[in-house]
Amino acid sequence: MTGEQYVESIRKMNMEIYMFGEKIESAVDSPMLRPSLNSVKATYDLAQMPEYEDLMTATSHLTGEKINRFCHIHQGTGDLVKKVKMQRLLGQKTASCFQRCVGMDAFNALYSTTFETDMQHNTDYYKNFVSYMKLVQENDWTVDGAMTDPKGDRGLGPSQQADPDLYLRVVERRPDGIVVRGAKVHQTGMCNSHEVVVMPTMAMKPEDKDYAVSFAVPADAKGVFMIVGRQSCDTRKLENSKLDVGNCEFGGMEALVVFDDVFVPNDRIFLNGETDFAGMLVERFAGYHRQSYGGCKVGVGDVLIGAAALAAEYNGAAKASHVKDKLIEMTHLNETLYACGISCSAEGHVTKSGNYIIDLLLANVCKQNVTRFPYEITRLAEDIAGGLMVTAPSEKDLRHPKLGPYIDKYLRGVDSVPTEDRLKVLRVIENLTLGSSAVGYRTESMHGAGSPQAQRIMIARQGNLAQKKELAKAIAKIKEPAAAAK
Amino acid sequence: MHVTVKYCGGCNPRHDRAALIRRLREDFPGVSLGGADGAGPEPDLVAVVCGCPSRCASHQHLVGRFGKVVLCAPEDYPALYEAAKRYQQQLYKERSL
Repeated sequence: MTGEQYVESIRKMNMEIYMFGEKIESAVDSPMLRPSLNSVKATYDLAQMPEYEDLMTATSHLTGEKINRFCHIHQGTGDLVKKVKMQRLLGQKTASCFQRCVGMDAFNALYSTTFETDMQHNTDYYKNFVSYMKLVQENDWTVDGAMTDPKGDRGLGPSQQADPDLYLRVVERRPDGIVVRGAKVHQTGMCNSHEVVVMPTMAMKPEDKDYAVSFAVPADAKGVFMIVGRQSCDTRKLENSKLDVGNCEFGGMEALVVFDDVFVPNDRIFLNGETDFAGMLVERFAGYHRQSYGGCKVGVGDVLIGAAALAAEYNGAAKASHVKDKLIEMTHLNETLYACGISCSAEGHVTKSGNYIIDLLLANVCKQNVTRFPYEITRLAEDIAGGLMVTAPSEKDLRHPKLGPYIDKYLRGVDSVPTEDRLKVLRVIENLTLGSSAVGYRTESMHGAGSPQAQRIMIARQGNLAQKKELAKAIAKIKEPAAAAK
Repeated sequence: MHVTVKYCGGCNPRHDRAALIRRLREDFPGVSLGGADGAGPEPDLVAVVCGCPSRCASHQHLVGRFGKVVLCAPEDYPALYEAAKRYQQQLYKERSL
């Protein structure tokens, strides 16, 4: 599908989207939402270009056809590496979240988990899922991967909540399918998706049977509606200023998605009550998504580092040793994230179903670094940019017949660089560090794919501390107590 | 002369990959260029253009009648130029016979 075909396919959908207390008639034409659609569109556009198709496309193991890599089931560690490179590329091109990774990560987690669930429970989920994947690949769908439940009282499990709907659940089982009720929060790219794949939010206990559910429905299925989240400086998009928004073409979006008694036919169900496999699905999805951040955030970081370097040039400070050193530090941090993304991919392994999964320890280390390094990179970018990035006048003032010449005169840095260019690059930095794209680059880095503590739990589990102690004993010549007693 | 051009994905290129192919077009104005999708005539040459030394482009399946050149920096261009030149001379010889 081309980018234009993608846009038209979304336009034809009948999604129920609300923002500022009103129903959005057309998400495609909404100035608030269009930048986020453009980011997803880039995943289609780049796949058509010879310069990028090696990363943007893959060959389906299900059909043998060339497909968009976002619809691919990883067939080796090479695919895992190319996934990270593709994400870096798209981060560079959009300087924002391009939203299509959650679906790709859900596909790969479900592919192996449904296979193993069937082995244990004699169910048909893998067959359902493979049929669904063929549809996804054939139609080149963008699919939202929905995991995070509202969770209510964090001290209580799903079935213990005062309101049973605070975790998405099955409310009715029928011969032809199930009816589900609940919500998913922070849903990135939902209004730009053809479909949504729902997964449980955490490992489940036997009493949480109705909450251990996974399925796919169209994004405009009856009963599904979304309430778009606000972003810092979001209404600048309504002011018709390309300069003031910092990134006038691309952006991200998140929504609270409500499932108000939504019917799911049997062939779209991938988990239904098998609580013992909810944890595996969550762990695998989270692992893939933590790998993803070692690509996408790095690409956005590339843009921010470039913007900081330009700001230094335009300020006439590029040759200052401390500025050079800050740019080195930003690069070091950014490439460290990339190194983690690549390493957890290269150290991946095959699952029982035949697809490949990342090394979970390294993927969690990757994401743990992502919860920290973008914050330091943004701090350094703000340091280099100077205070003008938050005190500069608006584009309207710059265009004003009386004010414009004064702004041009007094806000000029290096004489050879137009003041407007200096303001443009400062707005890019503002957008990424505290504007609408900071949602993706900062707070999403902290909490997306799991908050920091979730990674620390996985690092503790996977860290192989017992072997490390044995290594230390060997070096220190410490004998086991039993052996020493002999 | 038909040259199949295969680019790496361009995640972090250290140079302008397309510039190398523009140079080839300038140096050999009659060259016909095609993508790596299998469409078009059998390639005389394959040019694999990578953005960095990791050379990660998938090109094992691509074969040119007169070989394949992998480039990852502007300094690699002479190898492509020489390969194209050799092909032209070969063609000239064949036509002379």
